[in-house]
Order: sequence, then structure tokens, then C-alpha cells
Amino acid sequence: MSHPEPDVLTDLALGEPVTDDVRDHVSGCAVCEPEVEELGAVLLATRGPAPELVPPPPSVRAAVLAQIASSVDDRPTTAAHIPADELAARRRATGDDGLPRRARPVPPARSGRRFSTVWLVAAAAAGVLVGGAGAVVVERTGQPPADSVVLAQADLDTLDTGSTLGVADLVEHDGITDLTLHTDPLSPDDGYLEVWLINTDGERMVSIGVLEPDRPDQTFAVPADLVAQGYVVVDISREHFDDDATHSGDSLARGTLPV
Amino acid sequence: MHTEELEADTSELALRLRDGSQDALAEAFDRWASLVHTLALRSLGSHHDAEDVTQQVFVSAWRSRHTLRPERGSVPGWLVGIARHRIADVHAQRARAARDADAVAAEAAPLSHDPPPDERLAVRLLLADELQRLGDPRGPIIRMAFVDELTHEEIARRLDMPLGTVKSHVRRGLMQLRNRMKEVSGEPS
Repeated sequence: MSHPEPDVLTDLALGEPVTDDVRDHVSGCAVCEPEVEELGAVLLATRGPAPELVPPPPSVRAAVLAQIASSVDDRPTTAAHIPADELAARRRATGDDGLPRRARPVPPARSGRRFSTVWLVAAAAAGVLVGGAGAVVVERTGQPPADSVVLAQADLDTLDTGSTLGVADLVEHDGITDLTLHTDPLSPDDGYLEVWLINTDGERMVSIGVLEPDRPDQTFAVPADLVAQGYVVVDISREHFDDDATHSGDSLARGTLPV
Repeated sequence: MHTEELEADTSELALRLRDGSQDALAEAFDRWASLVHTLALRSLGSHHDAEDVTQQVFVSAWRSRHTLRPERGSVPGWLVGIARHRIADVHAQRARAARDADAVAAEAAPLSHDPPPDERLAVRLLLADELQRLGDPRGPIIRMAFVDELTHEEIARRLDMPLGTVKSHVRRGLMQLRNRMKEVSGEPS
């Protein structure tokens, strides 16, 4: 006989009455037999009480939404003004197109200061890693401008023993907000040191740059609205060269800016 | 909600997600995070790892949303596919860690094979989810036929429905669930 209608095969799988002809055909038919077996597997998998679902804690939802929100604005900035070697360095560092997720134009350099490219990378929990040439490094020569105002200061303490390894100053001058870290020499081991601002919600965080281990004073650009949004916990982490852009979980020191 | 409306609703969500709606991703999370988390938890046995995997699955779903083919498969089937890859990754990492530990200890213990993500559980969870979401009247009919194992005649009597209508719903429901199952059966590639 020809292959039975699909309805007849579902009936057979369900144990509903079918003719002997159908049974004889299906048994040994290369097309129908696997079909009926598959339908039988569906029935087996639905029989009895459903497995009990265990919802994840709410923090997982918050982390997912923060992470995707940080990638929403990923309109690539034009690569035209970025030197090729710098692009290549970023590509090595980030493992993707190398373009920062959010970039802010470089403020005009003033005399007495030398800016390398200033990239603000708001990477939230995903923490798009920017290393090398892409790092947020505002290198200064000499003292901060006289008109700067210290908005807040935080001791950077180790999490376990609470010993102080440095101080973070949130400084405003000419409408620009910077974070300056004064630290003891810190060991990056085989990796590097990264500076983060963690939100008071304990979920979201933004990488603001890479800290060189043996320079006592380093300054990072921080947009004022980031601080206003609650990113006030300064954290220095030890990261590995592992293509994982998120926080390693290995915090060397931390302090909260009393803003 | 009726069966057809529900199907339309789900594929509408798939389209919005593919087009980059964060709200759609949040909705997908609310609908299927428990399914993904349960699968990860049962396979990995660790709350911490299961939460990590759940987070990774939805973040990678967002990043690879352009790979969603609403005409070829369902959102939950797609999510379960991603989840099985992530779960397999964790098993592989564990196996590597175990091998490293073995090497350090210079033990000649046999290498453990990565346990495959529980395909049967994935199918059960996905089908239970699908069953739960089947609209009226197909949902109740299918549950009576498959879960409670009532005969078509008994169902027709209880629901006061023509036998032919019951049969037709059961057949189409079974095919629908079979298509869902196909989305997750087979090894993750």
C-alpha cells in the first residue's frame, strides 16, 4: 500500500485504532516507521507531570538588560580619523571591530597638558575591554590646573584586610570631570590592571581605563552624568589577557566616592 | 488566547527581537528565562553556573538576534539551542580544569568525557512550555490526551465536542509539538 495519511500515523502513535493494513505497512517502512517513533517520543516527553521550572534570581534579569543596554548605542564611530596602527591595536585588544561602543570627542588640548586619544568606553557589565592605544589615558605633565575643584575623594582599600592602597580624587575643571588615582605600586601579575566605576546597584559597571602598575598618579576622564547615575564605586581589578572583557572578579582595591 | 493568536504573538515577538527591540528581549527573558535556567541548573548542578549561563544565553541571543529565523523555528527552540551550547562550554571548561588538576597531581586517572547536555530534559522542558502556551481549545484537549492519557472519546464527552474536532486538534497538536522537538533534538553543532 502507499504511505498512510499523516493523520493515520498520529492515530497509530496515539494508540487509536488503525487498520491491520496500516500496521503492516508501517512496520518496516523506512519513511513511516521513524515518523511514528518520533511522534511516540513527543508523547513520551509530554506524559506525566511537567518538570518543575526554577526561575533565575532577579539579578540575572537586571544584568542582562544592563548588558544589552550598553551595546544598543553601538553605532560604529567613523574609523577615518583613527590611525590604522591604533585600530589594529584596538582590534587586538577587543577582539571585535575594535571601535569603542561610545566615544566622546577629544576635548581641545590645553597648554601644559598632553592628551592622547580620549576614549570613553561605557561598557556596563559587558565591559568592552579597551587596552593599549584605545585606553582612556589623559596624561598630564605637571600639576593639575589651579582652577580645579575636588568634588569627592575616596580611599581605595583592599576588600579583605581593608588596608589602604591609594586615593581616588574626582576633580572638576573647565566643566570636565576627571578621576585621578594616587596609588602605591600595584602588581598586575601576568595580566594588567583595569579601573572600573561600579554603580551603587551593584550590578552595572563601566570600565574607564587601564592603570599602569608603577605610575603613582593617573587620570581618567569620567563624564559627570555617569557619576550622577550612581557610578560612584571606584574599583581596580586585576585582569588576564583572556579575551574576556568583563570584570575578572579579582578586585585589588575599592572605594566609594561620597558624592 | 486562541491557538492562532498565540502563534502570531510569538512570531511577532521574534520579529521585534530580530529588529533590535530591547523590550522584545526583556519579554523573551520573562517568558523563557525559567526554562533556560532550569535546563542549565539540572545539567550543571550549580546555581552559580546556571545563573551565569542564563545571563550569557540572553546576552548572546541579543548579539546574534540576526540569526533568528521566525519562519524556521520558535524563539524558545532557538534559546534552548543557544543554552545547550553554553552548557556544553561549561562542561568542557570543567573537564579541562579537571585535566589540569590531574596533570598537576600527576595522576593517571582516565579522562572524563564531557557529559552531553541533557537533550531529553531540553525536549521535556520545551514541550511542557509549548503545551502550557497552547491556546483554547487545543491546549486543554492536548493535555487531556497526552498528559492524562484520556481517549479521544472521553475528551469529546467531557468537553461536549464532536469527536472529529477532538481528533483534529490532537493530530495537529501532536505535529506542532513534534516540530518543536525537532528544533532541539540532535547534538549541538
